[in-house]
Amino acid sequence: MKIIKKLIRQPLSLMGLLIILFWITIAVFAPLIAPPGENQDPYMMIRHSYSTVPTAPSEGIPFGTTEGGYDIFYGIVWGSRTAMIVGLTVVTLASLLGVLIGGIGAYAGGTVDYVTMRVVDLFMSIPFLIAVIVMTVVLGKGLDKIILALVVFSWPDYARVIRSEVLLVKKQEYVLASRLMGGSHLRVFLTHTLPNSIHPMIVLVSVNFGKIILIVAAMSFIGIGTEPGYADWGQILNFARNWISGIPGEPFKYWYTYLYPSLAIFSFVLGWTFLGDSIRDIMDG
Amino acid sequence: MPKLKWPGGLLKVLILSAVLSLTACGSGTTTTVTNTTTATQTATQTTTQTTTKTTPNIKNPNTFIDASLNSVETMDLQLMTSSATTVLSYNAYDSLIASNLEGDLFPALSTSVPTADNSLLTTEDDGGVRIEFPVRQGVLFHNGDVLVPEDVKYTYMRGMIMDKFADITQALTGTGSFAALIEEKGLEAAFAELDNAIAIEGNSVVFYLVQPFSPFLDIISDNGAKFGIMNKSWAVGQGAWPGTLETVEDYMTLTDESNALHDKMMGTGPFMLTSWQPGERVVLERFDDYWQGPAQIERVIRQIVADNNTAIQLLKQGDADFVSLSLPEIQQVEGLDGITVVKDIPTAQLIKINFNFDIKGDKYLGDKQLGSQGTPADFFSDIDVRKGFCYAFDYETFIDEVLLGAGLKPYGPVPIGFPTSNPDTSQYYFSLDKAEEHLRQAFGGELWEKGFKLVVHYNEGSAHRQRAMEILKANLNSINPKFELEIVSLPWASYVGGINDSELPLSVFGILPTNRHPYASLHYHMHSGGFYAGAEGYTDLAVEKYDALIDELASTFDNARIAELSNTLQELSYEDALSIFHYQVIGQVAMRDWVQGYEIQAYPFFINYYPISKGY
Amino acid sequence: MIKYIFRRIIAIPFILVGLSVIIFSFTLFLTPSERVAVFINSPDAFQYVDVDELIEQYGLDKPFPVQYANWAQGVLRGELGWSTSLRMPVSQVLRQRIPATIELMLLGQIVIIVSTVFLGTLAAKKHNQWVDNVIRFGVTISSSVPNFVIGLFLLIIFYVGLGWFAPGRLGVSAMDAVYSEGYTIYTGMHLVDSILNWRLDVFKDALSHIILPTIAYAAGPIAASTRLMRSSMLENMKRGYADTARVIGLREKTVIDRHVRRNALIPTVTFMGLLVPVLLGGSVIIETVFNYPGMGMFIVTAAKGLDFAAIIGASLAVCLIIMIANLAVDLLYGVLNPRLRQD
Repeated sequence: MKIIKKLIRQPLSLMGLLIILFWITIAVFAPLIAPPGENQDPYMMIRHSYSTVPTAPSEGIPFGTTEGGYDIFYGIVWGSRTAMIVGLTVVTLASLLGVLIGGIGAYAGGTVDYVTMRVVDLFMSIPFLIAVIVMTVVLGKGLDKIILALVVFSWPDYARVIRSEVLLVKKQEYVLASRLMGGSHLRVFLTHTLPNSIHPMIVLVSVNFGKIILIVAAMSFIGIGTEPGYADWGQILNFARNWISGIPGEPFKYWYTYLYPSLAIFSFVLGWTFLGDSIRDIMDG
Repeated sequence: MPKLKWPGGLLKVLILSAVLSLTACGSGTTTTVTNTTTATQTATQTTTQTTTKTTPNIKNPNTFIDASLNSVETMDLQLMTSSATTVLSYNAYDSLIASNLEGDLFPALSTSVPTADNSLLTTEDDGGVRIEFPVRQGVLFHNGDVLVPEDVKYTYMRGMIMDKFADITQALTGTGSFAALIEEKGLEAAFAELDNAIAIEGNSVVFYLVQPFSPFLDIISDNGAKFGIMNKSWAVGQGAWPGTLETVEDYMTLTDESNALHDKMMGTGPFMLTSWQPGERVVLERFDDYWQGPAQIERVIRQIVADNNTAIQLLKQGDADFVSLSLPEIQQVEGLDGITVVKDIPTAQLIKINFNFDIKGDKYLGDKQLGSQGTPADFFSDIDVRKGFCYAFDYETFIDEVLLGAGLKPYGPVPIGFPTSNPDTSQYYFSLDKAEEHLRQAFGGELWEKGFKLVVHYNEGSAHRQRAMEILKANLNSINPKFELEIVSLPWASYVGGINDSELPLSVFGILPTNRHPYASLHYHMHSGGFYAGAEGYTDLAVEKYDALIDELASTFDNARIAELSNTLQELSYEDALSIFHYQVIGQVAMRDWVQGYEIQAYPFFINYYPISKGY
Repeated sequence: MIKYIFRRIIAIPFILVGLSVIIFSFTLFLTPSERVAVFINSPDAFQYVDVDELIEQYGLDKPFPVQYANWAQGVLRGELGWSTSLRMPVSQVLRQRIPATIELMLLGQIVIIVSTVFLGTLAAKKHNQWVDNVIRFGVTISSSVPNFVIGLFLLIIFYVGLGWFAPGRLGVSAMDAVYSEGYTIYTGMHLVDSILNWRLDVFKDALSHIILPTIAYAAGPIAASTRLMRSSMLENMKRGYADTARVIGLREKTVIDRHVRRNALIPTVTFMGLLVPVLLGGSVIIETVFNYPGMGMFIVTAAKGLDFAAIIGASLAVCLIIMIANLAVDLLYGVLNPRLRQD
């Protein structure tokens, strides 16, 4: 609660908070803002035609359509949901996995710790984006596959942070005390060690949430990730890559294909940067 | 450097001063400067170099730059796998005889086209056919070697031992593959059979066919694309097959890395390969001693680009001279100063939606039964299902909306514009009533009651395949809500792999005949030895009904009979509804207006560099 | 310190082996047909390519351990295998592509460090004045624009709108020059080679191609490192030694330029080291957007073509670059901060 108060007091973090709230609202009320057609997977963008050429904004299609007749407005609204879902799922799963592996390794110490840390080193030795791209391509298209690939390569980050915390906390007197009082390993680990080590995780999670969404968008942008037509900001922008040329005399004829999705991604990341920075400052300070 | 013209020049000056002054600017500034200096250019070839060099408004006046998405798989013409790559061998090699777009044959490395009239093509007493090619004298390879008949024989032998010239092997031995021949007769006998089938008699090379094979001349007259004549002594020197029986087994299957000729070319054509940076570019240079006289342009660069948007930018800035584009993309350059657009180029590429009669694996079949959960593996072996699907596809909407008109509705398996292609062939058309009629009969009415759910695919990035499936899905669903297509995207690799493994229920893939004889497309589409019968599971049907007809078509030189058989086969393809004849591609290209001499070919991206020049 | 570095060097081969196993194991998800599908590059290619024969030639139907052993054997012989997507030996691709990416990365690092030092110092000097606020605001905004969005808009403005620059790495005539006789390729980095060969036209051309990707590449990191530099400067300005220097009569400019800035650079240098993996990862996106033929674009092509020899070769190369960069940072750190050397 104290954190939120502090966040509201600073103008930058307040702005960040508002932007994030805006997108959360859009994501939550997506079915009302951009109602899907009947019998249609709401996460697949509505399409107005099969035409290959984008069409300019018009009545009922506020942001126009992109290549394939996909409704850009619909894609952006539902894309906010996609972003939230990916961000939340990946961060939750990866941090759980990281906390478990890193925490147990550190708590157990010795060989277990050594082995887990070498595995962590291994996973962190390759650039995250490259690893995720390769794995996603191999697994095939689909949100679930990206999420899996992202989790597989992002848990080590959390494992490393939690480990150093647990190593510190482990030596604290109250932990030793509760162990001496006959608490089981599991009990001590879950009730004392973990809760007291979780603090820096919050910072990490808040920073990574925005990062993950950005990476998904970047991957979709180069054509690796969600299925074609899936409401996903990166993909809408990927479609736009073919249309940055415009036509003779009108170099920016297809401006709506790239401007709107860029703004969506930009504002979302901006909000998250403001917020993440502030959370970090508050936690560190 | 052209003068800056844009408003906001200040910003430009600022940035330019930060990054030094760059010479790369000046897009679209091909303003109407005097264009008279190049008048002499097209007249003669050798004397124009100095004139063109001083022409100020033509970028790279002595180099023709072709920007292409298609990277090059190999320089070994016999192992090339795409027509986009054979553009290179087409320009660097010559075949024994040449052909034009209409299918007329001309002498090339052979001084005459064998016919019955000039008695170079004769039927032997044993039913075999003798075809003699008198080899042209004094033709030089790029390294200065003189062409000899032995080169011709070596070229064909090499292609056959690698099983890359299946039709020729079939014609010469009666068996379609050297490997099969070895299994049948043993290595020595098999090799001897090939060796004896091509004889060097004086200054001629003579092919002895075991029986008449009418497409023979059409197949080999590809202007060097696959049947270009290689330089034997050079090839052997590079480490390619030495041409002997003892070594043949080591050279029957080559991978790119084990192929000594993977990155080399040595032909007699108007251009020679000077460098290849894979994934970046290929450079060809004019061969001044070309036997028909040197080409117009000094150099040709095939610039590989990752996407057409890049190609468009290069074209606009004059850094590329030629680009092949889709119709929506053409709009981005049409009407620009200095750019010429050629549209409505009919091509030989025929796209089909193939029914898989025997779907392998169970990845895409659900519970393998009719109903809302799946489809049986033999779903498409029911003829009414196939006919229903053929009627349920909206051909016109696809061509109008998705292709923006750049497509033709095919008549049948023989592409429009090819001999024996027949507008009167029965064709399926879009009719939901007809579709319903057939689907009601399918599986004895069971299908209509229970419905089906079928997973169908397109490869990611292919809007055409995706739209085709979507149209089919919507139409089937409107006939009966129990008919459900689930559309799934696959990476290209999985799509192609799935076709090869016969796992995909429906696939959108085409026919692109390399010669004008109807045998090419009919064999590929319908013969049990062609690709589709095997991959789509109708080999039995092919053996039973089509093979004999196709074989007869190949073995007669009587054009009327060929037409008759071709029509029968096209009609059979209709009756048995082997596939949906989706569309025939119409191509379009864009080039700088200084490009002269572009000849339309069967594929728009296929360029004969020989007559190309730059000038006004 | 020496022991620590020694341990790090020893670990490198183990990490490389582990990594190759991880990536190679992805092939378990694929059918052999999918893995050679890259040979079918157009709808007519089935006429010429026998997929089943290719599978046999490349041994893709063998069990996983056998395939891995085959690959590893090749590596021991010094071959990284054959790239089926680019149709050339992987080692040859790497020789061409690594310099391209390193060139981009080095130029990016130079741009980053120069702008960081400039902006960071300026912001710290004018602490809480409007200049500082503008820099801080600009930095926050620019760190929020994803690099591919920056890239896309640079393309739209400079390629399409103004037509100043061209995609790729070199123009036609510059490429002719580079591949001509008499031009020696020393490093494979065109900017360096062109100077060594004294071909300023090539230099200009290379620069005109690399400038936009560099901007897109550096924008985000500049923001982060400027922020770091600024706060580090502020911290150091409050330190005792700065006051001492002021007390003994040094001018404020000297204090900042000579003493404060030098100390404030330490965390920034660390950051630059940490940036190497980030930049290499980012190159995947940037190179694809700008059609710049480096490692990043190669990895994307290879991944899309399921070209595993290439994927592994490229990943190992990237991983090796990162580890070398990390070692370099550790050493540099020791130079900048003598106290660490004794540990």
